[in-house]
This record gives sequence, structure tokens and C-alpha cells, in this order.
Amino acid sequence: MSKPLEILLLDDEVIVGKRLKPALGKIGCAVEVFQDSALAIKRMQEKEFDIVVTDIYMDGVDGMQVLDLVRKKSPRTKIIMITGHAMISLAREAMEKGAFDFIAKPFKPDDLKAVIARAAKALGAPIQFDDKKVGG
Amino acid sequence: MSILILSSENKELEKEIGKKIAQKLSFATLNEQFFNKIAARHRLEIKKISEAMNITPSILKLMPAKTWHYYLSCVELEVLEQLLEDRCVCWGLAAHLYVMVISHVLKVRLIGGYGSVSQSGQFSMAPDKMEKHIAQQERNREKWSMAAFNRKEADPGLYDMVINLDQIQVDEVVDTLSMTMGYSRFTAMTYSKKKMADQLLGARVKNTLLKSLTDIHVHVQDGTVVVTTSSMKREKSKKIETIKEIAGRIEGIRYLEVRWNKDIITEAATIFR
Amino acid sequence: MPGPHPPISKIKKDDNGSRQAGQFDHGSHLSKDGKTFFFFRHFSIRDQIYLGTILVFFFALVMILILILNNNRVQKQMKFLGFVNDFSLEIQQARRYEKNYFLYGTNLDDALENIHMAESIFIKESEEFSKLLGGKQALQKIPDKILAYKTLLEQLYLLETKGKNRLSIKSFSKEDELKLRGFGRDILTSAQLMAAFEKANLEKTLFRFQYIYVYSFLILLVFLAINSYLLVIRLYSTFKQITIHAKRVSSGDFRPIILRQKVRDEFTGLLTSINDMLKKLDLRDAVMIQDHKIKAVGTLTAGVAHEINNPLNNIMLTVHMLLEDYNDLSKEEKIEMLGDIAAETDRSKKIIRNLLDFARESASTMESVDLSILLKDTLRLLESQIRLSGVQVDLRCAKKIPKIHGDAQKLQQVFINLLLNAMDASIKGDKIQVTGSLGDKANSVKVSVADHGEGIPKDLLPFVFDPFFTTKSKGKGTGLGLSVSQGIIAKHGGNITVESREGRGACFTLSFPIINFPENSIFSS
Repeated sequence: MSKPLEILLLDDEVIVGKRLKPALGKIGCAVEVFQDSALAIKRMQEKEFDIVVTDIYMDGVDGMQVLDLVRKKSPRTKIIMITGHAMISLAREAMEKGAFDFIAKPFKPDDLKAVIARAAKALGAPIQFDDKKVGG
Repeated sequence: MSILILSSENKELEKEIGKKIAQKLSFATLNEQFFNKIAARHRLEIKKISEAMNITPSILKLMPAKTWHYYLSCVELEVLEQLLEDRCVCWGLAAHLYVMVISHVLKVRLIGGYGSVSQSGQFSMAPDKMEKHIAQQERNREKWSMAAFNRKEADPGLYDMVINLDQIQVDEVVDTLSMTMGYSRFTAMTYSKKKMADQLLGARVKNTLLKSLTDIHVHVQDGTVVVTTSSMKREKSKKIETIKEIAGRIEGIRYLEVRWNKDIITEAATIFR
Repeated sequence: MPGPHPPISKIKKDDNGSRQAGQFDHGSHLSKDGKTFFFFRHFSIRDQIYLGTILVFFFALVMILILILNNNRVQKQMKFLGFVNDFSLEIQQARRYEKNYFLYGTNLDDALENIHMAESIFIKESEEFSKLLGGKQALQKIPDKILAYKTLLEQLYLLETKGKNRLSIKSFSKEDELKLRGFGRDILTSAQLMAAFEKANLEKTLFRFQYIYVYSFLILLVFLAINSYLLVIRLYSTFKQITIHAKRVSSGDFRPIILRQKVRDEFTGLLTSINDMLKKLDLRDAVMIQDHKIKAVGTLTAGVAHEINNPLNNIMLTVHMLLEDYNDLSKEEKIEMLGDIAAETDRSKKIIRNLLDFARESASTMESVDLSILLKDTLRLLESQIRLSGVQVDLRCAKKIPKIHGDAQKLQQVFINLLLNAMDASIKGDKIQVTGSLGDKANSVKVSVADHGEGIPKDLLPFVFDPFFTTKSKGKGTGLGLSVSQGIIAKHGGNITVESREGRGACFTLSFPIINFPENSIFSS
């Protein structure tokens, strides 16, 4: 527990950030929440995050473009896609582009926590999270 | 991290390719041999399982429709349970017909390739005769898959890939598919795993219900189970109650809903059964 | 432009909402037609042709009669002329003999015979002669003169037979001789006059023949021309009306055809059949519109099923956080979270309700429709599709668009269709411009949907509204969308047009007539 996991959360739905920020904070993550993808990208230029959680369909730059940008800029960053428009082709495309995981909305906070825990483990900075419910 | 499902009328080559890929990727295999386990677990006859996988119930009633559906549901349930553990090559089980929506399953249809087998003896007949034989076989399979899953098994739209074995050698197919399996797009993820879990839950509910009932369709999303059935009007509330009672005991259901489809044809047909 | 429409307010009256979707009322129109047909006099094209032929026949008959009469007259005149000729010949002969007698004392009996002949001719034809001589005083004296001439000759003859020599003749005074000669000359002159007069008459009759021919021919020609003109005018005007209506029908407006007819004829029957056909077409059209709508509902449902995941996710996250942290949260935080849940539930409800409003199978109800509201609702309904396609839809409505009279659900179907097409044509990041404004023509409103896609090739432009015309790949488009849309718009008395420049995008413009309702304010408040 040296340094908290840096997470950028991007979703144009305000409530998503509002709820997830404290939820993830509890498992030792420092979360920055954005609704506007342009602002989020600007922030990502300034700082390298451990994990980026992004919605896919947004006005302006969409999640897929964010994924491409992050993959290019910091390959070690794990990107988790969340979308209400989950489709088999979209999921496959996201994975091919190097997403760490793909979660369909609606999801429970624990679902995301489990994925973040796995990502943290993959990053070599495991966090405390009891993920009994979601298989690894 | 992914699953390969093969489907073909050419059983010999399908098996050969399946085995070779499993070996190359050190994946588990899943095929007809699995019927043993299914038979043991559900106390069924192995012969009858393979019969159910190949014949379509007809008026001749070699196997009553009810039994047939139950057998198929047992196979579906066990296969899905196996597929939950990925890293698996599966063939000869028509499994692609119930994992349509799962992104980490690569579904491949193998066509042709009879020429190379004819020397080995399986189809030692004249080419034109063989063609007829294959066409007949394909028609039978279509009938079977339509009756069982309301899909045409040979429909290329159901697959991620269709490979013509007349044009591509077995080893090339093995290489190609092994490489394709390595693509990130076929990696399992939370979304697809959830879908698989839903599918398994659905199969379990269906299997449990088919033990005593008929005409059951199950759809699961995110633990929400919707059972659709049709019955005669006077049996409606009784059947719905039964379904709720039986399914209620199954673990993992977050919400259960029973929908009733008024189906006059079934109604008429079941009266005289 | 479609032809003259019955006022739309009438449709409202007919459509009491009891009819199937998209189907406009035929019954009342037809029965109205039937009534008018019933009251109208029957005067068919066939009747007109028959009447013309009969008239021509009678005219020809009259002409022939006149000619026969004229001919008769000529024959009579010729015959009479022959008599006059004979008569004058006899008189001439008599005079010659009489002259001979005075010179040589011979032929007196011959002269007498000739004058008897002349008299008998005159008596035989006296009726004709007298008729001919009716007006001529001079000629009326002919019988007297003949008589006088004859009497003188007879006296002479008597003297001769008495005296038996030429001397006794000398007693026949010179004066008498002169008198005799004078009578003879007078008779001859009269006869010649008569002949000349009769000849002139004959010539006149013959001349009359000529102009009877010419005039009757001309009259016949004029009559035929008038008849054909009337026939052609009648046929042409009806055909023209039918053509205009056919054009309207081809644009999808299946309201019955009503011709401005004064009488019943063959077209009435044709029209009844056509209107019957239109009724069936309209039924089929309604089925097609419904089919198309079901497909659209399918597309939208898929989108809505996804779109609803966003509020559902918000609810799920909030509920789970409430459960997890219930004891740690302050009262205000809890209230805020519950408020979020309420709001998101409301949002889900709206998403579903929009779809249900559109999907609901309802009778075709014509109501006052505010296009700007309808357009906004449509965009909300398409939110998921818009989001997925990554295009920007910009809606600009003029502040006060008058309401139109229409079927909101069907109009929405058209907007959805146009927007989905525009999205298909666009690529990510493109803009689709939806504009609602007052139309170019007075009393009309227009809505346009413009995309910036590839556009429609010029050679395909005339076919885009044809049924089953599609540029989309097989299985993607039915090719019925625009055709169905055109049908719906036509039923609203409006029209749909397309402009496109290849590579620059396409713009579909709808225009609707504004219907004023005195009981309603036409402006949206």
C-alpha cells in the first residue's frame, strides 16, 4: 500500500462518476472523474494513469478513440471499457485494440472493482479486494 | 483464454483438425466422447444421447419429442459447464448453436474435404452418389438444428469463419485457426463471461424444467431469467406455478419471470397427446 | 404537384378514428359519388357518337330530298321547255305557211293545221303555261292572240273555200293581213320570250343545284367538325383530369378520384372501378406502412434496449452504493442518491414511453400536430442510433411553426425513416441538419433533413421514391422506406422532394399545407 492506484474515469453520465469515485476510493484508488472526453484526454497528456475506465459512445471523441490514444501514449495503462451498447462485435473490437476488459452496463460496483483488482495485479501492484463473486 | 468450436459434416477431418489444434495450443478437447460423462451424470443411455444428437423426432416417434428435448438439454447444460472453463476446442456437439452471443468463442464451419477422405474409406462411393449423400445429410442436419434451436446449422451467418477443406489443407487450417485463436479479440472478458454464465444458468433452468414439463424456452440476462412457455388455458396458472416452484430452487437466479405464450397449434396438438 | 384535393377538414370528418391505420375514408366519397352519378343525366360518349351520326344521317336525308325536288323541277322545266319549243316551232311553221299563202296562195290548210297543233299543245300544257305566264301580262294574251290568229286564218280559209280563187282573197283586206301577221309575230315573240324565260329559270335551277351541293357539303363539314370537337374536348378534359389524378395516385395518395362531370358516361363506370381499385390499393398500402413501421420499431427497440442501459446502470450503481455504505452516508447524501434513482427511473420510463408511443398500434387519427415537438420527440427516440452512428444531429426550428393537421405517428415514421437514412449515409463526425420552417409557398410548412454523406448519384435520383429501390446491400434495406414515406406525406396533402449533389450529401424536404381551424389557435404557444 505504498501509492494509490491512479484511475481516470470517463463517462458522460454524471452519476457513474459520482458513485464510483467513493466506491473505488475505498479500495485504495485515486479516481479522477471526467464527463467530457476532450478534457479527459487533456488530463491524460499531463499525467499517466494506471487504469483508464471509459464509456464508449460519447459526444466528440468516443471511447474507442480514447482507447487508441491511451494505447499509443502509455502502453502499460490498463483500459477498461464500459458501455450500454454492448455487442459481440464491439467487444471483440475493443479487445483487439488492447482493452484490458469490457463490461456491459448495467454493472454492479463490485464487478468493476473485481476487474480493477485484476488489472492492479497485472500491473504488479495488487490491491485488497475480495472478488469471490467474479471469476478470474 | 478462448474457445474454438468446429462444425462440419465431414466428421473425420473435423476430428483431425480439432485434435491437432488442441494439441498445438495445449487446449482441452470436447467432443462425442463427452457423452459418457453426460450419461453418467444424468443417468442416461449413451446410445440414446448420440441418437438424440442425430435424429429429428418425427411422426414415427423413434424417440418422443419430450425425451428428445430433454436429452438435448442435458448435452447443452454439460457442454456449457465445460465451456465455462475456456481454453477448449469443441466439435461435433452443435455447441455453436447456443453460444452465439459469446465473443470469446471462435465459431468455424468446415465444408467440403470429402475427396481426401474417400481414399481412406469412409466414403467409398462414386462422386455423384456421394454428392447426393452429402446433400441428404445436410438436409437432415438442417431439419435437426431447426427443430432443436430454430437455426440452420449450415448458415454461414452463424459462424466467424467458413473454411473450404477442398481448397485449404488440414495443416494450413490448423495453423490458421491456431493463429486466429491468438487474436486478442477472442479473449474472454467480463462481458462475454457473464454472457456465458447467463447461458449456463439458462441451460440449467431449462434442463430442470424439462424433467417434468414440455415446451420451455429460457432467456437469461444478467441473472434475470425469463421462462416462456405455452399451455392450454386451463393449465396456465398451474404450469406457471410449477415453473416458479421448480426454478426457484436453482441457485444463481436473481429474478424469475414466467411468460405465457398462447399457442393455438401447440394447444391443439397437446390435447390429443 | 398533386391535383385538386378535397379539403382536408373533410378527411377529419370522415376519419372518426375507427378506421385502420393509414387508411383514408373511401366509403363516404364513394357513396357521394354514387349519389351524384345517380342524379346526373346519363349521356355517354356512345350516346354522343350515336346522336352525331343520326344527325348527320338526317341532314343527308334532307339534302337528298332537296336535290330530288330540285331535280324534279329541272326535269319539268326541261319538259316544258320542249313543249315551248314545239309550240314555237308550230307557230313558226304556221306563219311560214300563212306567208306562203299570201305570196303564192298555197298552204293555207297547212298553216291552219299547224296553228291547231300549236293550240292543242298550248291547251295541253295550259296549266303549266299559265303558271309560267302568271306574272307576265304580255304572255297572258297568248291564248287570245292564238284565238284571234286562228280565227283570222279560219276566215281566210272560209273565204278561200267559198271563192275558190285568189281574187276573192283580195276581199281579205290588207288590214286583216297585217293583223294576221301581227298576231303571228306576237305569238312567236311571246313563245320565244317564254322559252327564254324558261331557259333562264332552268339555268337558275341548275345553278341552285351547284350551291346546294357546296353549302350542304360545307354545313356537313362544319357539323362534323363541331361534333368531333365536342367529343374530343369531352374526352380530352376527362383524360386530363384522370392523368392528374393518376399522378397523384402514383405519389401514394390513394384518395378516390372525383371528376367534375356533368353527366354520367363511360368514365363514370371506369371511375367507379378505379376508385374500387384505389380502395384496395389503400388497404394494401396501409399494410405496407404497418409492415414498415414494425421494422422501424424493431430497429428502434434494439436501440432503446441499449439506451436504457445507461439509466439502469446509474440506478444499479446508486442502489449498490446505498446498500454498501448505508450506515456511513449522511442523510443528505442518502436523499441525493434516492433522488438520483427517482430521476433515472423517470428517464427510463421516458425512453420506453417514447418507443411505446410510436409502436402502439393505433387508428389513424388526424389531429393538430406541432412539428417542432414531434421532431424533438423523434430525435429522443433515435438517441441510441444517433449515439451509435456518431453523427451530430442539429435540430433548428423556427420559433412559430404553425401546426399542421396530420397523423403524428405516421409523420414520426417518416422522420425516423429519413433520419435513419441520413445516418446510414453519414460517417462518424458528420452533421445532419434538421430544419423546420415556414414553407416557400404561403400556407405551408416545411421540414428538411440534410446529410453530408455521399449523396445520391444523379441518374438514380428519379428512382429513390420507387418501391423496392434501394442502394443498400441485400438484407439491409427493403427499399420501401422512401416509397412508404412518400405515401404518408401524400396522404397529408403534402409532398416530398429530394435534392442531392454527389459527394456533397442529400437533402429531403417535406412540405405540408397548413390547415386553419377556427376553433384552435394555429400557433403553438
